[in-house]
Amino acid sequence: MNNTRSLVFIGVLISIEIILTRFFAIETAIIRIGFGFIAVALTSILFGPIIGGIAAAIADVLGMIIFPKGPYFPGFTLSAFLGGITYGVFLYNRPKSYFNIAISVLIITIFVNIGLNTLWISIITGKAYLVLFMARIIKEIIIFPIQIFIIYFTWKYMGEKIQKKLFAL
Amino acid sequence: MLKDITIGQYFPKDSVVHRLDPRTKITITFIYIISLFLVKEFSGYIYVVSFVLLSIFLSKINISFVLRGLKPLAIIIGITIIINMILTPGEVIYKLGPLKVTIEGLRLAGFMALRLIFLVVGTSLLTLTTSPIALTDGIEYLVKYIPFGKKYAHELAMMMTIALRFIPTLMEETDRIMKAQMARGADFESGNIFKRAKGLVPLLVPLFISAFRRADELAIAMEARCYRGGENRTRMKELKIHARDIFAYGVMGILLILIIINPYLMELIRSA
Repeated sequence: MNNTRSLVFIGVLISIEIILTRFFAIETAIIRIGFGFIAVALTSILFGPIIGGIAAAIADVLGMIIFPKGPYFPGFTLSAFLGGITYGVFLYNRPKSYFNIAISVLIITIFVNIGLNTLWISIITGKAYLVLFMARIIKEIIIFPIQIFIIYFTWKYMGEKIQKKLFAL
Repeated sequence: MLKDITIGQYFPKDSVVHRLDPRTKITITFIYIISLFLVKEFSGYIYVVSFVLLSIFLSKINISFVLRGLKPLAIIIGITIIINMILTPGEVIYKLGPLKVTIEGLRLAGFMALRLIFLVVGTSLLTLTTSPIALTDGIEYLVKYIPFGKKYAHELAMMMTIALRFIPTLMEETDRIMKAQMARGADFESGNIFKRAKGLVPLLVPLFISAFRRADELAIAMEARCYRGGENRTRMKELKIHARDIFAYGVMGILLILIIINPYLMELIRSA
């Protein structure tokens, strides 16, 4: 693998993640459905769990620096890191089947998005997490199948070509 | 559309806070976040308010700029106040059907809302007084202190710099692709969530392809200029800790100590 090439590709994937999270989000007052997961999943699939996790954490910090939309809380950076790691563990050097993608998305949904993120929100807002929790559950149910299909098709149509280009030299 | 969005909220001014080393500001913001969660009673916020007002005054930034960061959070703050107010058991002061507002609830609601507000204001101050590039520089230096961080600090900073550099370019590109697809009849703004998600595909594919083409060109350009990572690489501008940074750490230290000893101080005042 060529290091400079990987470095640049990861940097570009981080900026795509920030743009997809902050500007391609379908927003309501309480929840925001972003599409940054596509870039996170792609980074983890191409570069493995550790780099995927680190890139996701960097994207969270950079996103806060350049497009702040609320308070910065380090817990969410940890959640982003774990999300990247999970995609990598299930999809790096493994078949990108519907089953593997669904398992990774399910684990992230249950443990990171519903579990950890709710914990962070309860720390920040106290009992208000009860109302926000319901909204989050609805959001997660809606976005779960969308995530699986988008990751599957993104990889099917672009991933292999990108992989060939990236590791060709 | 996307072109009108400002990147970062850095507000250039010639102030002592702006001149502080980015490492100092990042570290202080982290300690500030931790200290906010150590505040156990309302009186503790007196120190936080004093610290925040002093920082705003020294940074010469209009307070309305700092408070602007609260706007997107208005609904969350509202929900935090209402839910904590009605769901906390205690002495009832107002009853509306099954909903009871308690003194303890009011107290907790105010406490949580203040914490949320100070959290936003504190982090806003960091981004208002430090440019994204300076923050990236600061993070690179700080990563060196993390175990195993020294080896990868340069690579991490380079990734962040590349990401920062590509955001405006890719946003412009996205805007162009969006207009091109809209001219072909694509609809990005109506329909239910599934339709809107599906509608993103004609945008995502060209965006990724164009981004990777640009990445490829940049990688070739870097290699052609003999880029080979952080080893033996020197910097044009070295970050240096000045007396003002030590003073800032001192002020932060005092705030942290005051917040930690505040419950004991209040106990002493009450018993006196």
